[in-house]
Amino acid sequence: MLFNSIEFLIFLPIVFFLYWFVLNKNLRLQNTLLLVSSYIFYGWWDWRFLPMMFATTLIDYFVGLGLQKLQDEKRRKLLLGISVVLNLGLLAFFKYFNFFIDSFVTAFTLLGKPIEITTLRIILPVGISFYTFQTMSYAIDVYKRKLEPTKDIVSFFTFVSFFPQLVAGPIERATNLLPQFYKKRTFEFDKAVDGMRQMLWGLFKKIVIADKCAPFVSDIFADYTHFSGSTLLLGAILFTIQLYCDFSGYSDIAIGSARLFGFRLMQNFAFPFFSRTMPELWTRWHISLTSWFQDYVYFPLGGSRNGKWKKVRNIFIVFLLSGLWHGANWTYIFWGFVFALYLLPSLLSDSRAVMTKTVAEGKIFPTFKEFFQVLGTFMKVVLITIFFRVKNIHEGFEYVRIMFSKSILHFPEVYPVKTFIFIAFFFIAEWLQREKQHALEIDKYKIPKVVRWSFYYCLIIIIVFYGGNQQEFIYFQF
Amino acid sequence: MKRFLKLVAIFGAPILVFFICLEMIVRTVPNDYSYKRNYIEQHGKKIEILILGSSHGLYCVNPSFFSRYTFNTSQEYQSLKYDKFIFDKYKDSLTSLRAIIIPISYFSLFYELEQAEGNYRIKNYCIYYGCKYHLSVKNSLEIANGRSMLHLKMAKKYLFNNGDEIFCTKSGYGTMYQNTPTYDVDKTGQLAAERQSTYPIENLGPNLERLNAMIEDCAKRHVKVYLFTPPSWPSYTKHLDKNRLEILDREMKTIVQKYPNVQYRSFLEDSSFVKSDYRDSYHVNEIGAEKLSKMINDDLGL
Repeated sequence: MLFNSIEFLIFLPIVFFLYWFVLNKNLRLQNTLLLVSSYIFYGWWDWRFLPMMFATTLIDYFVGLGLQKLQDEKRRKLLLGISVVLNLGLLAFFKYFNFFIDSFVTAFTLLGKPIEITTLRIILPVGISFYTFQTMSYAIDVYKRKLEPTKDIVSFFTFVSFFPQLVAGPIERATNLLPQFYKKRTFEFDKAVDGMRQMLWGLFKKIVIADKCAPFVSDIFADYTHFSGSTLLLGAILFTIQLYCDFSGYSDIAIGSARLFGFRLMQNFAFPFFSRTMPELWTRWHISLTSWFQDYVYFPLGGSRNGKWKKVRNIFIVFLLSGLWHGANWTYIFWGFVFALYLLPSLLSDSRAVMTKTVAEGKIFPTFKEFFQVLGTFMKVVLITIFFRVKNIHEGFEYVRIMFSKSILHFPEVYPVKTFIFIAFFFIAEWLQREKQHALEIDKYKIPKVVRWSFYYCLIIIIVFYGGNQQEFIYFQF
Repeated sequence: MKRFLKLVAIFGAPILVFFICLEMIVRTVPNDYSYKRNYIEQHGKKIEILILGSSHGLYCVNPSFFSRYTFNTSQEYQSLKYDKFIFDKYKDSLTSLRAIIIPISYFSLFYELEQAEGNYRIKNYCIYYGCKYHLSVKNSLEIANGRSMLHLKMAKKYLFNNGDEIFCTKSGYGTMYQNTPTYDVDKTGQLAAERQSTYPIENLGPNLERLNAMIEDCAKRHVKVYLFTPPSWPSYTKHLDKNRLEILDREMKTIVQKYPNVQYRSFLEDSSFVKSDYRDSYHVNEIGAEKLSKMINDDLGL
């Protein structure tokens, strides 16, 4: 089920009503309702993959209990190994099988020994990369004794399949989300209203910005050899904005709808387009994945403890894996590689380039220096995001080559004026609210109700009447 | 909680009322689907030749040039699945039927509306024809399929100017092309051919089954089936997938051999169609449609 669909518009109030009005006195029944709703939500897309999600959840549930029971470290390690191999095995089969076969065949062909192996027609189960990482983190945390395994099977199943964040994150840690299923939830008016606002902003980003950019991006990338450099640059910028609005829009809706049920999910995007440096960007973009890799790959590899070169190596490993996580294509791996390269100067100079404070904190306008830092970081992201969209690396380089040709000085052939206006509005709103959790986090005591409601109605009118054609969320394919 | 529900109700009520009204108005506005359904239901007994199909039926075959009472039920993006649905729904009421015409375009045997860009049209079959293939909330409501600005314009046009959304003649021939520009036929071919070559080959089996079922049904009713591949300009045909063309050719030959009530003719590279007959590289314009319709009428010999 898509968040931006009529089905979800009906589904959400029904679950909400049953949750707070029918089953509100029984925590276990509330959790069971969330579990059933989550399986319906997932099965709406393709019910055939429900047994697989059920099986992986069941395995990790028992792995958790087993890890608690076992005292022998070797046997504990073995059990964790089984869990990791099973989880990654499923992910590898569904997501990477054909990629590895293709790469294998290409490698042999390049060596002058062509071989023929047929690939399989495999449908990628939506959200597999997200829930697999979530269950894996549970098993690892239990193994490391950071977390008590749960005996409450309903809570665990609901934690894995919790519908707001099931198919595209945020990738929640068991340490944050699982305990929330044990405690009785009370309805909080302010949080629920804020959740609704966050959902509204998420819908605006997805339907008005991302879906409006989508057709222009598709046209430009599909026929990039016939456009001028300036149009290709515009295409790359629009795609970067589309990608962010699509994914962060999903996260906003996920976080907002979880709030309606009394849950607090982690922030997944913290206005990354206003980052001054690449390291800062990575503390603001897809935070749940970045921190996952940090905790379960970077730190176990030694992090920054064993000298500069080990740190560089670890960063490269993390970013290459992060690229591979996004998809079974060399373009994603290259994308990860270049991001690691971007981080290299700060790694080598040992500068503490991660800026914890928001740019121009407490001010309306940034300084010239901050402005150009933000612009520079944004353009670096735009450049590498091209590889996120093209079919292969060669096409990506060709795109960049044409983009930087003389025709970059021409007037673009494509100039979606209405979309530009909405994008400008989006940037202004995000800039003004960059110190908050989301762009519609409004202090109700500062702004009169009439103004607030008029603004919400305007947003709804824009979403309904000026939104683009319904598109799937880009991150569903990951 | 009560405060929250009250707030949501007060905030949401105007939106809900607005959309209910919009849905009711949009459904009232006459459109191609409701017009064609009403026409068949009212004049079904008189129809002697029924045209089915996608845009190749809608814009390329004009009932005005047939010597028998002809009606065109085709729609843009209509697949064989929905051709069969319409035929099955009305076959018993078409008591004078002597022939059905189905365009079998280069892509028809591999094409499904459900997988196409224009799949929001499925709701038209659900709402206006009572089709239950994909019954869902989305397919039961006009407003659930986006295009709200268009709906608002439709409602305004209907309420203030009594305007409708019918873009076909009385006999169902599509007129939308008359108000839209003609494309450069030399430039429009390649992209379309490439796009249409990506339709899944797995759809061949189900589509052949549908076609065979319709033909067998027609045979029982002593109704002729005229299949044709529409004319296309070289900028389109030269980019078509040879393998798919071979499949099309093979399957059409098999059908013609198997069923005596079937006639098939490929106009794909028919040289009698010149550049000025085309609206784009794979659709003829009104002039081309007249030519094609007369040729089909002659072939039928009814």
